[in-house]
Amino acid sequence: MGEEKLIEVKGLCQEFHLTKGFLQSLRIENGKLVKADKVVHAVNSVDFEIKKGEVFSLVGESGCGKSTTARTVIRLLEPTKGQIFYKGKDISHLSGRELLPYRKSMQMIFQDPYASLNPRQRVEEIIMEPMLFHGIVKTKEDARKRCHELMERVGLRPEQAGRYPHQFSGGQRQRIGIARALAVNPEFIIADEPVSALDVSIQAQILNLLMDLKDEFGFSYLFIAHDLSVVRHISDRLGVMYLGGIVEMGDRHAVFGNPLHPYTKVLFSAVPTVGEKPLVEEIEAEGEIPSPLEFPKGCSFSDRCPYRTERCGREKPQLKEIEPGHFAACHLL
Amino acid sequence: MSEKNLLEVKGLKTYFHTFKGVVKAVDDVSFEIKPGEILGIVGESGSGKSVTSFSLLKLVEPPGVVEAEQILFDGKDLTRAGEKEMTKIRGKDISMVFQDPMTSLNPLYTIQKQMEEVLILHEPGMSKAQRKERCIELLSAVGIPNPKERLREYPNQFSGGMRQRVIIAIALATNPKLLIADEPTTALDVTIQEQILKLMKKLVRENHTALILITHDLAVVSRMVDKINVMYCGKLVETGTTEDVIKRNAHPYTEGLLNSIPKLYEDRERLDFIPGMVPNMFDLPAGCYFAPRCKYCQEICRSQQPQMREIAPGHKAACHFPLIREKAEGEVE
Amino acid sequence: MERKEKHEKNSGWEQFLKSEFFYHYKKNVPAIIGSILVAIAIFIVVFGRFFAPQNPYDLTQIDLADSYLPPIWQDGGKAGFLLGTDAQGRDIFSAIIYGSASSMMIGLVGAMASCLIGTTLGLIAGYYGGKVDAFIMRVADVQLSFPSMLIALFIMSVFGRGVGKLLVALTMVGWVTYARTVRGETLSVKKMEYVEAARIIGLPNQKIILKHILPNVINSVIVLATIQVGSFILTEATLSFLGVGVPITKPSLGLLVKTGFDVLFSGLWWAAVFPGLYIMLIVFGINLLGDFLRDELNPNLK
Repeated sequence: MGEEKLIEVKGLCQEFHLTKGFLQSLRIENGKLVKADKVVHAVNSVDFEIKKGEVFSLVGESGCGKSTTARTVIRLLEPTKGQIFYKGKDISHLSGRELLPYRKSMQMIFQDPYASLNPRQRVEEIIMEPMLFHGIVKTKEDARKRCHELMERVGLRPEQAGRYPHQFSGGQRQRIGIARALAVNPEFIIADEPVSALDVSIQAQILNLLMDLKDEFGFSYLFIAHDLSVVRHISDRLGVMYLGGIVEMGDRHAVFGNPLHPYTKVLFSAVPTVGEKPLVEEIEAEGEIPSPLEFPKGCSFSDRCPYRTERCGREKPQLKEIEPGHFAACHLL
Repeated sequence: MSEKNLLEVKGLKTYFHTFKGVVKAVDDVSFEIKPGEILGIVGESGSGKSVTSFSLLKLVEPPGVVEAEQILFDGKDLTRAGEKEMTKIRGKDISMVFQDPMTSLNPLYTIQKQMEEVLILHEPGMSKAQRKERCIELLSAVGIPNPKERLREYPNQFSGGMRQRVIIAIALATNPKLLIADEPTTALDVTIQEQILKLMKKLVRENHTALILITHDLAVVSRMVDKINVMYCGKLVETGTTEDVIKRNAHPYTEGLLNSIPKLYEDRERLDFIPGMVPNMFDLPAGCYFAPRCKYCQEICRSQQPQMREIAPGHKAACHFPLIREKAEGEVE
Repeated sequence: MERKEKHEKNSGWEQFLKSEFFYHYKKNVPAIIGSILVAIAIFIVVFGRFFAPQNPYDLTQIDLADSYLPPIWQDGGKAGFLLGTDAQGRDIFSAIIYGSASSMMIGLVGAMASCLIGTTLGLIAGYYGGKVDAFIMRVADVQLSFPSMLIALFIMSVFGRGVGKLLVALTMVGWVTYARTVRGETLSVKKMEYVEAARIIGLPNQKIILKHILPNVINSVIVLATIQVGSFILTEATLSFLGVGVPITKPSLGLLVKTGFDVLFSGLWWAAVFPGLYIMLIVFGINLLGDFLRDELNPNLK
């Protein structure tokens, strides 16, 4: 594994304004008209890096900001604050045209195999479109040839290239999505919950395929998942996200071997398993995930944490290096 | 357990007559459930697990047609029950919890209105005060804090997990004899899933309600249920106690399904998987539906459909060569 | 569905007969009635002038002596004048044939122009959002706050009669429906992951709109356009009836009803009733077909 940093994310913030325009932001509070913007802090000061050839995973429950982070890193969204470096170059605020060279190197695999393929395009059109657009192949004939090769590589029969997405099953559609991502020879692939919408027996096929492709082409992955057991098998390092921030980050062996943050422990004990003995003592979080509109003042996990102290409600913990390469944000450590 | 069966289903067939041909969504399925028992129906998408439950309640719409030799519920044969009778049974003796807590509640009515609706319909003798009392009691039973105030709120003031609790409270309002839960936690986060599953198990045990839990997730099932039905392509392929199905599974499909679940406490570069994909429901194989994906497949499997047969008392599988666990792991008989 | 028919390499027609679209069509009696009515109407438009007994707009062919003849089955009916004649001695049957051609053309072209403008504006508003969206939608809102007939009446009274002016008026009234529907659908299609995928590839916005959004909103546009052809035929008839539509020298079903209406109460009912009946049948047929298309092309209803 090379030590070269492919992706570096520094202090990334992503805010969404729910109030549109001046009129919507007006509200009546205590009999007075006040102007208040509703802002969702989807991602709140996130730092991480991904080395060449590495699989970095972001794990968390819905609303924790993992997908928004992914979409910001690949610049579907412009970050509110912070920087994203691709091979040392700041791409956080590049415009559409300036981004074009990077579009070739970064691709994404999506969660929902039913929404990620245009139902009006045939499989070959879906896979050939990116190659032709970026000029990776000269002629349509070359594109078709390469499309068939890619289909074969991801486990589809090339003679089905003329079909439409609805003629395929969920797992096959996900393979089509993977072939589309591979079409431009990317170096970096973001996989946003690529298996969570698939049947269990198909999940393993797709995960194995992603791993095989990584070995073959030397990709780096940013892998987004809510399922810890999926993450365990494919990542080199991972970050656990909660309410827009990373609460624990480190090497796979470190995090799975010695989970530090109470939230990580809660996640671990909540994963349903078949006949396996739990690794950590079973603890349960109280209550529900708070809305990202109303942040707790101190630690974001404080109102659900079984170990909270008075300090946790007051002061926000920072990520600290607890053991080499293993970070956690908790006052108790 | 020598109690009489609460529900006895024999030869349930639900066929959908579409323009492409007949889909045998549920094909000759028989099972029974005793009062207070928890049965898990497990299968991948298209296995017919959800259609089974809709068929029991006669909620299948054209072009679907339900046929059964017998659906004996609490001494009544539901195959002969008319729509009027079914309306009395649905929501009173048998109630359902659906997958999506976001759409199962009407956003225009308060929680109280929606809870009382069931009581007004099925417990006409109750006074207004009694109804309110019962609602508060139910909400606190499902672990909703400040039930009195929350009764007046609208569904959008509840989070996903809380809504699912309300839905469970509504389902249990009339003390049903049977509760059918169709993927009740699939739309929820893992930490919330854990809470809801524990709650459901506790409640049905307390009230001696039988529960049919429909899910794609064997891991969820293995923690929750007494008996498991495994379905594949509309057929029941294995049935037995949780212990039987998880530890001594006899059908290769069950084995494959269990193996393809990523293990949380084990490092693995590649995952086990079931090769191939679920066959097209319009074009099912001639013999065993699982034969094309089965690693133990023999000549007879391709030509002749296996029948359900008993492997051990109460443990049945539909396989020509059921795996015998006690003898030797994974070896063919 | 329909598109399948175009793309499959083997016989397209055979494929269409086997498609789900046709399967549902066969079972839908109103749809069959609707399409038969529309097919007859189109046939009359295209071939009508070859079997029409006379050209009622060619003055040399009309004989004033034939005025006010009743339909052929009534006393005083005359051979060659199937549905009777009007004050100028024009054969009503031929007049309907000529009038329907121009009425249907106006309905069709008006709907197409509205569709083109409305869909484009809807796509732009929905995809780009922000100020462009706000502007387009406010104009649409203003437009919708007046009865569309009033707007058309106003435009026609100010600028005078004429087929071209009528088309402009219809388009100005008609685009709003498309703009609103298409904008709404664009907003939901825009969030689909395949649109994100196209943006990650780096495709420019126009390409994304044309290749990834338009094909996925076109179904509703087709449905709207079908129904609008019918409603525009009615609007044209109404405007012509009120005397602000097609010029008196041009053929039009609305004008026929109007001239017939003037003498309706003198017992000469046929001059107004037959053209009116024909308008009704065309619009009825188009609406039946439109309803079927709406159910069939709307994935949410399946």
